[in-house]
Amino acid sequence: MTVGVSLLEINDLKTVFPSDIGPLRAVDGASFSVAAGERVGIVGESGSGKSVTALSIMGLIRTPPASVSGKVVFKGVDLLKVGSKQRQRVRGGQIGMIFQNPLNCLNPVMTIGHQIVETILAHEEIPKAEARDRAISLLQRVGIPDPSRSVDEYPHKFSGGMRQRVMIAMALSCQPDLLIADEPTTALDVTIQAQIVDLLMSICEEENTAVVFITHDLAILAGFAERVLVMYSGRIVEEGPVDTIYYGATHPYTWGLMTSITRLDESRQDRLSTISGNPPSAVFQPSGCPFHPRCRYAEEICPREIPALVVHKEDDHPSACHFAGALVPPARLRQVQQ
Amino acid sequence: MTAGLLEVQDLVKHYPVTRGAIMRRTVAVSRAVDGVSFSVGEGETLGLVGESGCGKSTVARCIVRLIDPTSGRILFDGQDIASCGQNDLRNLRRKIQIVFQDPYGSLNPRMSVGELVMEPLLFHHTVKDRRDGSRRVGELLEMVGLSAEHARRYPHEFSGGQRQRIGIARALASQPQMLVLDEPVSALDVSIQAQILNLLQDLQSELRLSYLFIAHDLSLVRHVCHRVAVMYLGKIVEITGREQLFQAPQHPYTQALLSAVPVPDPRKERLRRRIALQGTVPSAVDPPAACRFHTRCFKAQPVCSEEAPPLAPVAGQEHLAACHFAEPLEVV
Amino acid sequence: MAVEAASTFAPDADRLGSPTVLLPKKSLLRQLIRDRTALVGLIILVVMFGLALAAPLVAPFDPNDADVVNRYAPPSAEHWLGTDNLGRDEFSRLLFGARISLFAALAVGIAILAIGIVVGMISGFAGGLVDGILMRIVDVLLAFPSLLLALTITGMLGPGLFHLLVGMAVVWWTDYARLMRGLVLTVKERPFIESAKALGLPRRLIARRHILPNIVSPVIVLGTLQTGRLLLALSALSFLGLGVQPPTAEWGAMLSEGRNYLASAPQLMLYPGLAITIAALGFNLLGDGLRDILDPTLR
Repeated sequence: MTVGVSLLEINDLKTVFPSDIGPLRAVDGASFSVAAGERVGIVGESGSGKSVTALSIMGLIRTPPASVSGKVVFKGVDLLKVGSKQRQRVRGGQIGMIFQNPLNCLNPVMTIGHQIVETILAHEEIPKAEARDRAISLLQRVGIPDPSRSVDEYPHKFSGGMRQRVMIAMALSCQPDLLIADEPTTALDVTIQAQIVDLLMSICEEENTAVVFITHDLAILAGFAERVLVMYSGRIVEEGPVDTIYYGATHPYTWGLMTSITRLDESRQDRLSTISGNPPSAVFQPSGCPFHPRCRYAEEICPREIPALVVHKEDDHPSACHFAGALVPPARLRQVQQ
Repeated sequence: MTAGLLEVQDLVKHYPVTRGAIMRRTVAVSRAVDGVSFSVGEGETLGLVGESGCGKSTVARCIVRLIDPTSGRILFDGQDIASCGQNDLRNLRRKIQIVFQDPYGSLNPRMSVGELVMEPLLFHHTVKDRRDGSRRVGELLEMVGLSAEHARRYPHEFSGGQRQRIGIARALASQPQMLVLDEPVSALDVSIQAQILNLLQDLQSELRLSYLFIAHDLSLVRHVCHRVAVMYLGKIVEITGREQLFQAPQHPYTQALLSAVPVPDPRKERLRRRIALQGTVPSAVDPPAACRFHTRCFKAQPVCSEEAPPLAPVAGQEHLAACHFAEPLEVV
Repeated sequence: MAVEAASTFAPDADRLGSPTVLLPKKSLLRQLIRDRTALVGLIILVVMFGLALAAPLVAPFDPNDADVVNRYAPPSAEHWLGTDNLGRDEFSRLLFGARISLFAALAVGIAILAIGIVVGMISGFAGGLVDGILMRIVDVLLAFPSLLLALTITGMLGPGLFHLLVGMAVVWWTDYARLMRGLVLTVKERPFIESAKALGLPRRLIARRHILPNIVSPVIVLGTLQTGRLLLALSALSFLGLGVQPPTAEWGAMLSEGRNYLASAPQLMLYPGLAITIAALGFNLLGDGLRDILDPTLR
């Protein structure tokens, strides 16, 4: 893991949306950092605030009505403090983002080349012909077949996987230092998913672009991420290097996520263990530890006190559970951990 | 293998590709499903897997006659769904039901949960009157892990997993013998997927249901299904029991699919090699000649583009694969 | 089953554990009252329709009672809005005129709504040739300027309120038919329709229980806005001398008569003109408000 000066430092990020039924705390005090060239995975269920975190970093949350507070320091500049012009420069120029549904993000009446060129010209003053050449080489880079012809095609001509590649090309158009991928493969077939993950991996390695990969599926992150953040109810509840999270997690929520996956590498289970209940809603937040209503280890302290994301034992990783390190993980997980 | 409850024989669904708005003419044919045969036994779960566009959802819709097949037979309990009249169809639909992928779209937002579940009850005359109906609605909701009080609420008040439960309760209302599950969990969070899969398993053993489980995620299929059929471009390329398929897959396409499934274990993932498939799935309008997979296959030889391999036994009578070079390969 | 205004949260009702957020179901009327635009529109219409209904009780004079001595009288305690060219009480004429203008507009509104819904639904459901023929008829009707066409038809039938209404109905149902057809086609493709088909429900039932309830909202909105437009069109046609014949009081006819005295007594055009404007405004405000309330994406 490259521990250096952080590229991105998030400190106590809070994003709150007003609503008829009270404030929706989508992100509720998340803090983490991303180093240059690092691959970070954020995992959580729907409603955990992982996507809103990404949108808040990008400055894509409309304020008002929402409010975004805390610090989002990118290369030493707090993005929440700077004016919209400078923010615009960073967004798309130095931080690229790709979304789950590429079709919604591409303009159907513009050729993909036109859309990439437009992005490039919004951030750099170069001749149009040069921008077009760059668009073609970007398409080549992301593995679009016959890029000099594809550049003049419209989005509907491409399959889902190819559209996601186009989105990646667009996000890469100004050589960003950071790429945020929000569930980039959820809508795709497994074979295509594997291709996209490989592509992101090679971009990270060859161009030293840091990648934040947001997903609800821990299996995808195992081969991709160097560090994993587990998000629940707008907070980071556990974080650590990828091996630590997969082999030595201490938070019951992470255990729940791990054991509810159907996995091909183990003998088949007759029954899957589940996390009872539903993902949390941002409006009705339980007191104390947000996970306690679903946690089988919950004790009397859990509804009373919010556990801090701290290191519990020396040489361990941060985990926001009152009993981190003291609980015995479920049997099925112990097998994997050995 | 006993005679199946559901027997699909040489099912074909071709869609005409048309041009022109006023003088409409057919310019080509899209071979969405092109000769598919399988059977599902009583109390059995057959998985049908493949990438999007392989025709698996079309098969599902033909089986419940949401679309009319071009040719072939779909025998359910000896009766042909593909060719039966409206009256017989109504009867058959009581016995074979479908659960859809999209838990948000497949429930009418203007109807309460009670009304949604009551509708098939009243229509199929499974209950005497509305009073009896409400009692049965309560039972059905409890059966799928909701409570009877939920009947008064509306779909938008529920999470994705709960809506999928409502969809299942609705499908169970007519006391079917078989459920077609069309990607029932792919729109749900991983943690919720597990709940629904467990529910489906419980229901199967309680009610002795047969399932046709359609999915693109092979790890799910392994968990739920007794037998698995792999589809590619409108044809079944491999069909066999769960253990054989996952331990010794014979068809290169199955192997590639399996190798693409990520495993939540970083050390194993670092050691795994993926079988990369070239390009994307070709169009069903003009599928490759002979073996349809040869354009993307890592084993392709000249013969593959000349001669279509039959779906034939490769390792024992129950393990069929359609490949000239079928050979087991460890991929997980 | 009674729909209760559920509490905002129901933490314990959920057997699956974590609470689900409940959006309280509000009655349409309560939502209307909360939406200011809609409320203003509603009040205007309620007052106007109320006055129109109660005209015989409220009006101080008979609308056709001419007081030739007292012509062009300015507003006074006796004649609130003064009198017209024949000495008839202007206020009473406005009230009685409302009965015809408002209710005629409403009648045409309902008639074209019915025609439009039926045609639109048949077209959307049947598809194919039936759809093609019906939509070509709609296209032909839309190709003519609607007011002119209504004028022609009424002219052919001969003047008279009923003929005018027929003429208008023949011309104006096309918007509904188009809207309904489009909505039917959209809703028909939604997954829950497929789900209903898989349950084996007959087409009639699917149309009534699953499709119709999901398309009434936009139709109600269009209906309200359309009625405002009809009121204006009706007045315009009456202004041109079709429709209601003198001496019957009707806003458009009053406007038309007032035109002759524009120089000497401009108020005779002003009052009916204002009445028409305010009523049309009421319909439009209510329609806009309903659009916001009924838009499912905003709920």
